Amino acid sequence: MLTKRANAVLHKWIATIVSIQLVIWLGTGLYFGLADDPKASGNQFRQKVEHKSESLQTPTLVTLKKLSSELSGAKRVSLVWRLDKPYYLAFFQETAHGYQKQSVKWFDTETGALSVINKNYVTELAQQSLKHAEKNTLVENATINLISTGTKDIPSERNAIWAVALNNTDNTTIYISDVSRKVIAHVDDHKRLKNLMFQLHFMDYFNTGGFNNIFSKVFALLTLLLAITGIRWLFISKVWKGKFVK
Amino acid sequence: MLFVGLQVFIWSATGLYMVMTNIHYIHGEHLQKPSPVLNVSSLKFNHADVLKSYPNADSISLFNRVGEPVFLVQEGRESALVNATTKELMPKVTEQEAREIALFQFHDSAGVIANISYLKDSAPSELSARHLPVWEVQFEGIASPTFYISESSGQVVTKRHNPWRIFDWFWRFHIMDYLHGEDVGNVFFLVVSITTLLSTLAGCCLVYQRVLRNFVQSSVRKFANKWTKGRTTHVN
Repeated sequence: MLTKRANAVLHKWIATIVSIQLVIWLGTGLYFGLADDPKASGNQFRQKVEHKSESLQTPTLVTLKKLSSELSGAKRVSLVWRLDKPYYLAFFQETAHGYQKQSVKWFDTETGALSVINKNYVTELAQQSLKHAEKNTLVENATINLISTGTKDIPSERNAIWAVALNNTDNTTIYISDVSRKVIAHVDDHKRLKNLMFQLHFMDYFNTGGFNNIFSKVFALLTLLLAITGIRWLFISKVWKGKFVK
Repeated sequence: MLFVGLQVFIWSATGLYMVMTNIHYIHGEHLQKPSPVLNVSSLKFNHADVLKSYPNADSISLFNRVGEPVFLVQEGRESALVNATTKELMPKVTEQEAREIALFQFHDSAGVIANISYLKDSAPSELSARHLPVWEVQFEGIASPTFYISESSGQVVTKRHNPWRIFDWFWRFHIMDYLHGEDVGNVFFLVVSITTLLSTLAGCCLVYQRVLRNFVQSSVRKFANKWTKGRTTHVN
């Protein structure tokens, strides 16, 4: 058991180490409680994309047997529509969450050929996901890049994504997954501020997109010790006895 | 200070649990086996055959369910299962089938089902109501792993175990929304956060006074002496 003096010394030195981080945790925690959620979501100008219109005709589909060599090892083969065109989407590695590393192949359902998307597809999808009076001009003047190494805007994403960076006042970037071929996020400066707050709260200084990192573990442990020594000090010190018990 | 100190203890203890336990483990991803590989060369029917019966389908997925290939047809929020061998619409998942699906997909091949129940109208707090109706399959074990299996699609829609349940309760204590665990902006949380922030800033002042002031002052003094000495040498 710690002596009173050892308890006080321990409390003082732990406080020296964690004080700034404690202020950051409380400040960012307050931000999460007070932040304007709809604005911080980045979805101010986002709308849902309908990938399959109701009036579409029944497509011609190649049989899966013709693709059997390509589908060796597949765990699921789905017929899906993207921008009114049907595709076979084969999953070779399924994950619980879309952001985890996945292994898929896309096939043209008419020819059976492997399908890849290009800037035209990305431009069209980005346009459809925007509800903005000048959306055509915005997307036409946008910078489009395929990112395979991760981005600070979506740190948890482990798959290749297309980034459509608009030249607007909020610096909106539309992210499209190369795996699902859907819009996964609109990120603007409001959302980036929220991301920064999460990064500080989680101590995610290596941009992993999570909180299971060594910094947060060490500081959480030290803060728990700080709280325990603080409460102990409060309860057992002469100050407590003198001021509150008498 | 006592009240705030107690909440700081709760924040640090719950936070420590959250950062120490891997989030994928908390989600129970290890509880479910990976899906088996499909054998498309022996298929009797294809997506095209199913699409004729369901022309408005949003997606048609082929996968193995307890060793047999099935098509899952998704149309809006509705779903239906079609047997890929007979092309027949499969009836809703029965209790026996739910047991088979759960045992087939559970990570521990020696797993034993402790309890199974049908949930139609109300969902427990650990399950989103949009998944109803479901079969709740509880396995034996200290972590009380539970699979929720959709009655219409036969898929495991949610997995839960005690580490998740502890995480959920700790989250409620962390954001001080003890009833629903959703509202980070509740008044209680805001009042205690602001009070704690002020206490922490006061603590930072104490740290500066008791620990850092001497160090900072001596460093400034050393720097000033060095700078003055340098200037004197330069002038001479």
